[in-house]
Amino acid sequence: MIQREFRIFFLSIGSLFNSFSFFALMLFCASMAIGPEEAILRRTAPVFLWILIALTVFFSTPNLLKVEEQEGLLDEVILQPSLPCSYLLIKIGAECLFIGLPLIGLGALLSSFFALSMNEIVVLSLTLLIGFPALSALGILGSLLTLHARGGSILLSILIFPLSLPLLLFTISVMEMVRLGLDSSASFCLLTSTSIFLFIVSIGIGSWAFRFAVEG
Amino acid sequence: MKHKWAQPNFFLSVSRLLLAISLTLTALLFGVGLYTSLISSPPDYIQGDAMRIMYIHVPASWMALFSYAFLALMSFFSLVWRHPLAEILAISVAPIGALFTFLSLVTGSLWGKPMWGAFWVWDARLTSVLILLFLYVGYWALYKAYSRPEQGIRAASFLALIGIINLPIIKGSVEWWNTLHQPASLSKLSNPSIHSSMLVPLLLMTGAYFFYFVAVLILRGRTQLIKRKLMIWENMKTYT
Repeated sequence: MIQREFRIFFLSIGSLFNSFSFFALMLFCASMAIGPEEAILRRTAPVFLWILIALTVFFSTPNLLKVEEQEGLLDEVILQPSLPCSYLLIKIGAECLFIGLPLIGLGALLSSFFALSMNEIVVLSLTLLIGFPALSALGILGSLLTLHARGGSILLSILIFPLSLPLLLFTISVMEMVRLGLDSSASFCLLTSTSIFLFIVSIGIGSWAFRFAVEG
Repeated sequence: MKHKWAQPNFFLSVSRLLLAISLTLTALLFGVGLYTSLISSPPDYIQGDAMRIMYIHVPASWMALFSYAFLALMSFFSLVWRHPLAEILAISVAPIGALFTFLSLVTGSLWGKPMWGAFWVWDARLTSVLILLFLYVGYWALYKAYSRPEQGIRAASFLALIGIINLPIIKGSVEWWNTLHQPASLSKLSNPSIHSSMLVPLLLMTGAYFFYFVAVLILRGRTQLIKRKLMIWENMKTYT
């Protein structure tokens, strides 16, 4: 199955490129609208990066599952004796590897436009690395729940975004601490624990909801 | 669950009496509670008369949290035991909870204007209650996004379950972050940090809100139940 994910990735680089360019374009639009003042850019950059990465994930995840459902793979997963959570884990792993890492790299590259210092870029990328698995797991859960629903990805964002808000808040407090030169380890620990907690809970509920999502 | 209380027909028959009782209690408690809280209780020595918003605001917030806990519990029941009554109660409680949350936010910002100088501050308590409102909205949106209501209820139940993580965040938000919002006055039941002349009206108002909740829940639950019976009956008619 892991091999299969790699093959899908190489076949669908084109469509992944879409989400990357969406991300970059939105980031540029935001920075253009804010204007060239460095102080404001420095404060707002982490927020924009985080929200845009979350949006990119929430917009691109449902398509991944929709394609699999049309191919009938999800029915196969149900027929297997093992729990569907291994499938979900592989899916999330693939998403982190093929969408998450490039996105975070791209974000780190582009955040030099936002007058962030080297230290801040490293910390920001670290928070994104910590938070991304949780975002991805939430995205997978949301797209399972909306698999047969009308409304699509806007609905998904309404459902999942409120749940991912703690991650955003803790990241902002980490970045604030770093910007002021204070000790940020407390917020960092909170961010990590929230991420792990959300990850576990959404995988658990996701595998519980799996049969319902596929069979309707 | 073969429990007698969980049978829809038993619910239909007993709920008429319960509805009458809770409606009278609502009216009674609202009357007494509003009189004692707005007129006969003393004003706060710092906040003056503006503090009387508390008697509307605090019970609404409590009931918003309580409704969500109830919603999550009913969602759990309906997912595990597939019980129709649990599904109906979950669907019925969602708009009531959203109403309480909305009321809590509105009265809170009306209270915030004279106290903090602003209607809205982005602090942890306010933000987490706003998230609670969005959870209710999301629950309802997901329920309505399916063409078959049974499917919608199940999808929304999963969402309600994962949304539980917001409840401890709301509860802890005042202690974990440095906020403008004051900590709870009733955290310890044996020795509350609020004088009894204010505590009694507050409890009366809470009782009024609670029985209002019960009455509307029963009313909505009965409507949903009858609607569902009608739907099944019409389906049967089309088949035969």
